[in-house]
Amino acid sequence: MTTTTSIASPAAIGSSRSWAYVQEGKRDLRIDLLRGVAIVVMSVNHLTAHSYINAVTQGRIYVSAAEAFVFLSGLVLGGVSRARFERDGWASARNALFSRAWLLYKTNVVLVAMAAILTFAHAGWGRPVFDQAAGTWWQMAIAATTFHLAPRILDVLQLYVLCLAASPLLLWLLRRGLWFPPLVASFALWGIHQVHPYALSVRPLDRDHPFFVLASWQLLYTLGFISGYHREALQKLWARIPRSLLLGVLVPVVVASIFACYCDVTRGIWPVHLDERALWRSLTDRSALGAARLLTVAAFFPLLYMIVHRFFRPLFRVVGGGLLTLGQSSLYIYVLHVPLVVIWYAIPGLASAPPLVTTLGQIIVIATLFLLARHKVLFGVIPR
Amino acid sequence: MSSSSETWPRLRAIGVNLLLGGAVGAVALGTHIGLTRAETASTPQPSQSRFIGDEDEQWLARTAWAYFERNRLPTGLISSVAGYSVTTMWDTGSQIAGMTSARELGLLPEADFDAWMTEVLTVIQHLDLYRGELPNKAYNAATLVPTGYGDITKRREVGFSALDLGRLVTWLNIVAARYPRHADSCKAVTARWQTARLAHDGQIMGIDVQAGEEHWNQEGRLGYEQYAARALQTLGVMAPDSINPYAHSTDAMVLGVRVPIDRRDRHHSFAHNYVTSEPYVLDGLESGFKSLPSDFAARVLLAQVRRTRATGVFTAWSEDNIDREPWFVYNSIYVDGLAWTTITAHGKDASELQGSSTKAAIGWHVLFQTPDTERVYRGMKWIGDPNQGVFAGFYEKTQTPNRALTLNTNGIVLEALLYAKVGMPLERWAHAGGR
Repeated sequence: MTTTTSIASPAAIGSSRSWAYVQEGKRDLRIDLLRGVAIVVMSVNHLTAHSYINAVTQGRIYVSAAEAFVFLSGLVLGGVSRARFERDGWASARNALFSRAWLLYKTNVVLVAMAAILTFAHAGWGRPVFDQAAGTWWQMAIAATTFHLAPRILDVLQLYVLCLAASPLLLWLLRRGLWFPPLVASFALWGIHQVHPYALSVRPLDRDHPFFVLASWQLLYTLGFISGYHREALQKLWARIPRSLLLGVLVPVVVASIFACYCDVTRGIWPVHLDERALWRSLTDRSALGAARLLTVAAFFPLLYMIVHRFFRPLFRVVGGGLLTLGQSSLYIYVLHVPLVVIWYAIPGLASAPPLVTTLGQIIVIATLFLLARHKVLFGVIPR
Repeated sequence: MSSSSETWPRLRAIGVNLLLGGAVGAVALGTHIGLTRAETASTPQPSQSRFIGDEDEQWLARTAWAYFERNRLPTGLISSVAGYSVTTMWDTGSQIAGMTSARELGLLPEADFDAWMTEVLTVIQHLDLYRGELPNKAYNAATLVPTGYGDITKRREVGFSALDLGRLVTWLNIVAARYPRHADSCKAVTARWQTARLAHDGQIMGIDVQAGEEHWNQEGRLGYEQYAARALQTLGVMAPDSINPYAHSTDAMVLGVRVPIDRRDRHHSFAHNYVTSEPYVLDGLESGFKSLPSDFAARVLLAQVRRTRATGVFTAWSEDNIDREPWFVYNSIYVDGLAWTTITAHGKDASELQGSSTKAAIGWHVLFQTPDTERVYRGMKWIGDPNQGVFAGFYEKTQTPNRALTLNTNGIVLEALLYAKVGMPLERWAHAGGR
């Protein structure tokens, strides 16, 4: 959910005969494609239903699209901010980050306000953002503007705003060569949340806890930002690691995660003992970004990146055009998917319709989002 | 990892990074120590914040409600234990609590609730009373014949329980206040009761019939006694000694916590002085600690929190049904001079079967909402079968579920979820018209 500069075209893909990705131009289309995958998965998962797509995208591994978004946003912003700093200076880079935070803040407030108005107009119309009004209109207004609301679907925006607002400090440290202290601070915040859940959180008006807890989820953004800032050095390091060694480490972790998720979530047959189950649930908790979940993220995303790199050209020919379009306009797609999800919930019986119907419905929604982005509908109004 | 700041000599940069990283780490460690102290030093305070659950709570509510649907009998009553068609007035109180909660949580449509509640109230209005005085201790829920424990096909009048009647009255009062259309029926249930023998000498009394002989005894110890006496007072049963939580109470040190106990233990009276979670949880959920001081409840909870922290074993102890012989145990934080003791109803050691109760875990959490109560609640909230109901709890020794399925557990789970939704004691909520 970061600044976009262009919409992909097949000409940008390169002319090599290899299946692998070849960088031509500044923009890394592998990242755009991954963001495209993430935005599709996120949109489909928000369109609650028993569909054939959901059967693949939910409950299969201890990772969701949100982790990908947050990390990739940090990664892209880290790189972009460094380039801007080196090109235009500190003030420009800092101001760009604050501007982006302000834009997302306004977007968040507008979307929350729209959902709240619907909820006040008629109980249930604001679903799934609000099941019911969490308070009076003025309580909700104050809560929305001070991050004391954590409405479903929209709550991740607040995390972005706070991460973006802290990014100038991160950039300031990085440009002084100080990458270790923010890394320690980020892991420390995450660790404190594991041991003292929600101790560093404010209690939202509409939930017992925020879902995207800043203390835990900032870790992905910070790791992404630092990696993006030092991307060249890390890419050199990455290139020196033997592929067989990487695959030998990453594949077993991902396979183990898929198998554990199958036994735990799908079948409910493991862990058997209560203490072990409680521990495992805590390690895989999404809100806390538990350690096992973090390990899965650390293995799954690089593996996905390697697959996308190695098979970029065939992937692009099959699904790439659409995914790149969606991935390059991720904030725009995110904003637009909110009313579509609300409409989805408002159609009686749709969420519980047969899988064929819901699958078709989800495909129509994704196609609609693609066409809107493709034709740049309201690009001047809706943030991108 | 090189940086754009090439002016710093490489070694110096590494040194500064390590130094500042270490300083940040030290601050984090200090924060951890401070938070740990803050979490363990003070007695927890009750919270009346709304606890708005997510999918997990919806699952829990639906699972608890499955017990009600699966064990509903043609009479409208529900079996107190799955597959065993007996009920008591305590369990009928839990049934009414569960039905009310299900209606408010959107699990039971209003029309169905009204029809079912009318059926239940009509049935308990017409139950055969023990010697024409008060409801018998147990009924065959399928035939409505008074019975005892064991062979439930035989008609037996075995006495009445003031504690059980107290729970029923608590919920009749809540339903009457919340739903005016059922108020007359609620009053009609108790209108024919002869309450003279429910109290004596300032204490609530119960009758136990053994070998045909009637034993009229003071009933209840610190916790249940106050819970029931306060409810029965609304019927005009005056028992000032039973209502007063300080009348027979003293403290016992358990893991450094002054746990309130009843002086009348097995060594000095005819009954055990179990300290368990349930009366405190129910009083908190329903009255907001009007029967028992919230400080008493907080100390009973704190002892369990400290045990959880000290042993790593989730501790939410209560008396409960179990899924094997002897079928019922008292997990007692303190009883008859001993801490952390599990005994049977006959006072025999049952430490092999000790464990925690789901009803206590969720009850404590919605009432206090501390990181510790949340940890136990999160660890236990999945113990159930969505087709059968929420299980009673788990065994500590084996760390396996105690699969006993009871009306009381599932009723209290629903009641706790209703408290979480409305964010206030249920008596107050009922009188506030559900605002």
